[in-house]
Amino acid sequence: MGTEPTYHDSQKIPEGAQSDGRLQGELTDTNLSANDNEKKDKAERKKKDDNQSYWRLVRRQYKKNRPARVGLWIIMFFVVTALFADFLANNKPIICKYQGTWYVPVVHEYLVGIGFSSWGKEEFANDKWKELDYDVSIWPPVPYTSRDNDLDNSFVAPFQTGDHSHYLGTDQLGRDLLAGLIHGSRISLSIGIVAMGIATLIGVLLGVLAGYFGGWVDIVVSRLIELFLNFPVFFLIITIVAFYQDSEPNALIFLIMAVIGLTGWMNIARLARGEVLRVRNMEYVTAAGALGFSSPRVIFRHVLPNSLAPVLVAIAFGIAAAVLTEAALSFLGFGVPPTVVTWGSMLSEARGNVYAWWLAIFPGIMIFLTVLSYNLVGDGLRDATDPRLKL
Amino acid sequence: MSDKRLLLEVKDLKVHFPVYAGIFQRKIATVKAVDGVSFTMYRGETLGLVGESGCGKTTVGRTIINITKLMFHDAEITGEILYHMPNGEVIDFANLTKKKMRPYRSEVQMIFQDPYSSLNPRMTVQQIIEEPLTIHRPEMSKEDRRKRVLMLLDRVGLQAEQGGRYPHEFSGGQRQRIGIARALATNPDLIICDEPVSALDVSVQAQVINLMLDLQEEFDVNFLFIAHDLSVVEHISTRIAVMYLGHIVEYGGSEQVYFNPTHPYSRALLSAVPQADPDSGRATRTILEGDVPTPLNKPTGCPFRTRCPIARPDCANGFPSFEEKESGHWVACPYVEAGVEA
Repeated sequence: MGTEPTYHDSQKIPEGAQSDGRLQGELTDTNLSANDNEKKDKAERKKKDDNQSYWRLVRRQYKKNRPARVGLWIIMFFVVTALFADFLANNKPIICKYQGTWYVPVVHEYLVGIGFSSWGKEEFANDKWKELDYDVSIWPPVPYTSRDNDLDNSFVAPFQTGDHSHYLGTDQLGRDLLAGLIHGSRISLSIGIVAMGIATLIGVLLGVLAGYFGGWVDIVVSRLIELFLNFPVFFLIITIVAFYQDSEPNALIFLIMAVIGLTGWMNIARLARGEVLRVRNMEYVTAAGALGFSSPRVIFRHVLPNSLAPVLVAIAFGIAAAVLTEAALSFLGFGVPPTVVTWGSMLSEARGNVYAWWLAIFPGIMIFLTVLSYNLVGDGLRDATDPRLKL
Repeated sequence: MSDKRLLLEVKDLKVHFPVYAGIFQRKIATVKAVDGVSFTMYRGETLGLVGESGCGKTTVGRTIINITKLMFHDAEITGEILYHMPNGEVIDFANLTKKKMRPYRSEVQMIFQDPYSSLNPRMTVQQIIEEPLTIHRPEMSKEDRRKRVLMLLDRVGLQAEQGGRYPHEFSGGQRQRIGIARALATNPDLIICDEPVSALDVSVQAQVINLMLDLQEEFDVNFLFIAHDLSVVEHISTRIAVMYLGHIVEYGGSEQVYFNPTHPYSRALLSAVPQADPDSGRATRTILEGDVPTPLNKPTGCPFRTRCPIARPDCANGFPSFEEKESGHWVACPYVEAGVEA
């Protein structure tokens, strides 16, 4: 009995041909790629196929989806931007030679921030970097942080370079818009990821428990889901944030993440529960029971890995929703504290200065792109993990 | 065979599933999937359990290896399932808790019907076969386990390098071989084969059946073979029990039951087996009327009386007792004689 099916001159395999269920994953796959240079494709696949796992199949399917790929690239671009925000937009040089000594102020700033080092020179500590006389200096592409006021240059329109370099313009206080966008990506991305991380943890845990153990556990969890679904989440967040308005900026940001997460797990829990209910009745789970495996082992080795695909899709959509929620909160002024610049708070500034169109357009585009990308990724994942691909 | 050693005694096994409805989830009915089944299995013989879909044969198998309660928490199980260990110890599997059952899991195993859903798609074949060993033979080293997996792969007719592959890369027959290897991993005493070949092509069926016969000898394992295909069961079994609607209605040596079916239901079942030779001249062909009654609301007395061609009014009075029609051939019908057409 051969393992590899050979399709020597198969043009297109009709849907019905799969009804015997034999090697369905590969059949579906061949079906989709049937049009373009089949032979090369096939030879290539034969090499890879030797140890192909489910996720490898999913990845290949995902790659065929152009919008989803673009979405992933955009997200990756934002992630890189967020990671290197201090090197992209900062009010101090990346590397400089000052009075005969080399400095790396941006990195130095991190060390000072966590208390490992001090600035040493007074002119450094005063944050007057631009007034110093350097022997050599390399500046970040945007020589401002998101908080730097430049009152001489308030409401500069985009693309009007004078002796300043506010590429995308400034707001009322002369804060650079591009710097704000770059630094704001940190908040937006981390809110999405942390909030959904919390939601996923709660949702998967409760969903799996409900689905696997059934009975009263299921009843309790299902009622809990329904209860939470009835919360007017947005107003709940506004209320909670209002109570803690005076706390530390970072603590407040985390509080917002936590609240979004704690009120956003229901969808994931429902999906996880449904999937677990399906997988639980598969014979390999029965077999695991017959082999005497413990419940945790059955859950983590047999049930969970087979029920996570739809949850992954929900997570992608959930991140998009969390980013939107944060933007909406900041726009209303209930979100992150005023000292922290986010895309949402930039938008809310545009509200008062309608003629400064750039203040509305650019942060809007960023939010739009982020949410769109996560939705594209979610769509792509849903298609790539489609049950027709199921093994 | 004077020194027949007992393997399994099932005594008056009943498996009932309550049905709940309404907002208060009141119990409104009971599905009597298995309703008083008794049989004995001896070492060295294969018992075939036959019956149509829904007659409870799978439930019997699952209950013997004590996974009915795992799948349906509210199942009500009564009766005794006495397992005689090779060392003479006797354990009652019925209603044994999950924890107490665990030490015996390596002795009783199961081969499943659907080769497509009985293997975890996210694990390689190697991992699938190795997993029972990691649980039940913790003293084995990693290398020993790997060696045993390779040995098992070889015995079931797969190549060593196929161990790294995933189940979806195999055909149905190959998957069933993997399932057999998994069941054999811990060297069990008894394997419940739940329609192991009914999902396979006929040509592959024969290969798998023959493989199982070979392995039975090599691994000294006993089979309880559940199937609806009588010719398959006749080939592999030493004795056959015919089930109908939760009851065993006929019980005897495989040739006795296959060539000389006596209970009216067995006769109807056997006459449905297609014959390759049109001139073989089967005397009559019994065609049953109507459907199997629902196990929710079974007929009183003999469960078969609603469809029985020779039913009489007094069939409604209690389940008929077993009568030994010929040596070792028990039939639960007072109105038939072995070898005599009704």
